[in-house]
Amino acid sequence: MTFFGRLTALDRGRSAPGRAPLLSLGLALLALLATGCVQSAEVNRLALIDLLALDAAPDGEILMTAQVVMPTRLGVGPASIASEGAPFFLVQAQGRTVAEALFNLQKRVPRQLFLEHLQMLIIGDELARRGLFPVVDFLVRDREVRTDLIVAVTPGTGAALLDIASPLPAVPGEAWNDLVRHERLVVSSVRNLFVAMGEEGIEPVLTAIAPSAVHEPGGGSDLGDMELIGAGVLRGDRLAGYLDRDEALGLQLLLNDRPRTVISIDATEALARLEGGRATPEPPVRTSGEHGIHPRAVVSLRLQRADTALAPVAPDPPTLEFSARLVLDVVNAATVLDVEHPEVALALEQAAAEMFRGYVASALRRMQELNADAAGFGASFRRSRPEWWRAMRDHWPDLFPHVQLEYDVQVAVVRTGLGTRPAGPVESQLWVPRQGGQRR
Amino acid sequence: MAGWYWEDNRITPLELTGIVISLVFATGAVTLPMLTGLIAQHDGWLAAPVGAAFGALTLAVILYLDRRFQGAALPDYCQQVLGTALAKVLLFFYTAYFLHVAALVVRESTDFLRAGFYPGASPLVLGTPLLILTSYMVWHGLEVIGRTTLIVVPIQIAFTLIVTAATAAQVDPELILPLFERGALPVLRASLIPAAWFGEVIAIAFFLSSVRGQRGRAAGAWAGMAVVLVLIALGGSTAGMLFGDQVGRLAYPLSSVARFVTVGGFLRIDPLAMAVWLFLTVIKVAVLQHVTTITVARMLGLRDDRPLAVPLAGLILVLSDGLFTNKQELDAWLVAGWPVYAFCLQLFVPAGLALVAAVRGTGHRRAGKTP
Repeated sequence: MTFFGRLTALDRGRSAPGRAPLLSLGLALLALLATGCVQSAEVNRLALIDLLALDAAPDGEILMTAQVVMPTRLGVGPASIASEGAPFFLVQAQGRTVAEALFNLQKRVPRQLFLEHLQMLIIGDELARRGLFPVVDFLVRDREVRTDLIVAVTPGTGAALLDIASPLPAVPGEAWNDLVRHERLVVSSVRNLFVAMGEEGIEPVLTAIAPSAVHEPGGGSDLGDMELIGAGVLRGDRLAGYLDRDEALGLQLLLNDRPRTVISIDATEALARLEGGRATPEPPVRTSGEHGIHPRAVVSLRLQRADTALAPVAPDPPTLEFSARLVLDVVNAATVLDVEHPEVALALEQAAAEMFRGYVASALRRMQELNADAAGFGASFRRSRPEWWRAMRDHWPDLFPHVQLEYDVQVAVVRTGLGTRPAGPVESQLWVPRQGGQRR
Repeated sequence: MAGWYWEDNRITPLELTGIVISLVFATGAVTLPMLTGLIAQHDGWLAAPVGAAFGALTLAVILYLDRRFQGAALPDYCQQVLGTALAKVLLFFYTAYFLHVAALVVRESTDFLRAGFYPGASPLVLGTPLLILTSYMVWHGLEVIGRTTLIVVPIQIAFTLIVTAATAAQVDPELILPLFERGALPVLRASLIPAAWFGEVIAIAFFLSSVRGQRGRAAGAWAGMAVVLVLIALGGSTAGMLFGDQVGRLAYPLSSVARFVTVGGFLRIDPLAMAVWLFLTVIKVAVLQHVTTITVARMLGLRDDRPLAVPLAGLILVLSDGLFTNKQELDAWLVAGWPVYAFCLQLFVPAGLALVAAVRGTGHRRAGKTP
């Protein structure tokens, strides 16, 4: 007898093999009922929302704009009419809260609004400056909204962004979501926002996006798309200002938020660090019998891995040590420098470290201008010096502008891609340490 | 004396381990991080180990009584210790207690289902299939409940570990630092709630004599407590490392943890988490319903407790819907009222029984049925 058979035939030792399969089936069906499958929503009765924008409306209300997918225009279903216009339509409604606006929006869409496939929530500048905790409360409380939903802010209105019919993807939401996640220029989700709002000593930060111009070939019309412009920094629950891309990269390094970037180092910066500073940058020259080479002298490095940490060093003025271990690859050597040479690699590492220090310093300066501690310097003090923090937490907004950083940035250039020496220059044109540059 | 009544099925120590895990983890898995987080914020997960100490104390008393009154369960030996009349009063209190707990568990499960998945469903519609299932299990006795744990509990443990592992890339250990940020007092206050949860192990005192092997059942019960402690601490700390001080602001933090995990980037697993957790709830309600039937039968002197299963299921269903008007009331009661009430019947009464038995010399190494 099977295990289930015995399970159902334990009635005082009397075995009932004939009843066992029937009972097992009945119990299995009962288990299905136990999950309470009621209120099913058929997919053809749903209105899938791809992108949602929230903007400030008059009288303190919220204007909600939803991009609702039209599956038939995506070539899905028997009545498919693919490629006839944008595969979505926009619908708007207002309300005093997000929930009320959504409820009003439902009255304008003849299908059940469905938020589970929402790819991104875009918040307009004015609403963000008004305060975001009521929005976050809805996002956390609603059962259809995913905790990892990306929340972005835009300097204009969110509705303007939703009006863009992105030229590449049929439905822009998923592609925009991928762009934010893959490029990782500050990734803010519902969870990040929710957690930062409740933590002492750190302010929330949002992905900042804006419309971009994408033209048809031959100077055709502007198709329009979205671009990442940096980060929006909040003070409390209100938008305080924006960080540009470089500053946002610095913030990501401070947050140990796995940034991705490509930096370009001027070859003169690297040369200045070679041969005890005696190496002099000389422009590539053409000698007799040699072809001329591209005059630009830049090496591009891709950040592959970043491991950073903040540790308080002294309380007055608040000083922290920023330590970073960064791993980079050479992805483009537009220079005569022999990037394969260990000494050149070392010089590039030093120059890159200096550049990353600059990004972090600029992020700190901007945050101090905005008086918004988005990097969590206060939280670092709170965790490592809780007694000091208890005494100073109320004064932190006054102390934050005086925060200083000590840097310990170590960079390792570990690979040179699929190439070795720069592809263009002939041997005699390469700059190799201790052998000088051209005409060696 | 036990032979006069219908004799319960017998279970193995491993099945007892599963029952102990179900008793504590079924409710603890879903709401505990919220309740402890409300009081101790990100330190809430530390409340579980402190609360487990209370459960360990309760279990130690139960096992002491089990050794002292070999082959007898609490309804049997309380008569020896207190006399028939007082024993009936005590059994009445236990009947009310287990009915109450069963109703609370059903209510928590229907609240959870309605909040996260079926907002418009009637709690009676959600609770009825659950109680039909538990009534079937209770009708067939402890062995069916025990065997069901062998299927359900490993799935629950595996699922908890998988979900925790899947969120590893997103957790931020700094969010649960510094430890004891607001001092030890909030943690101790919060620990009253898991203490009451761990104390639900008292239910096994009513059928411990039906577990094969005296040493084996002690080991099985301790193993169950240890596994639950690990699971609750793991789940609580993961929720803390994902949501920090905000963990108490989420109604079901572990469900929110499960919402982080997707298969292939699009398939959410939180409905699966709900289903797995519901299986555990079925076992917990079945155990509580089983214990209630035993207690009522013993109190009323009935030879067979099985016919009580269905009426008690109806009572549990009605109580689950009628005891609290809303979830806020339930949560407030779980934080403020539940621990005090629970401690009396989970620890103080059994400890009192043990003390009286020791003073009176009742039941020590009594000749009886050796399991």
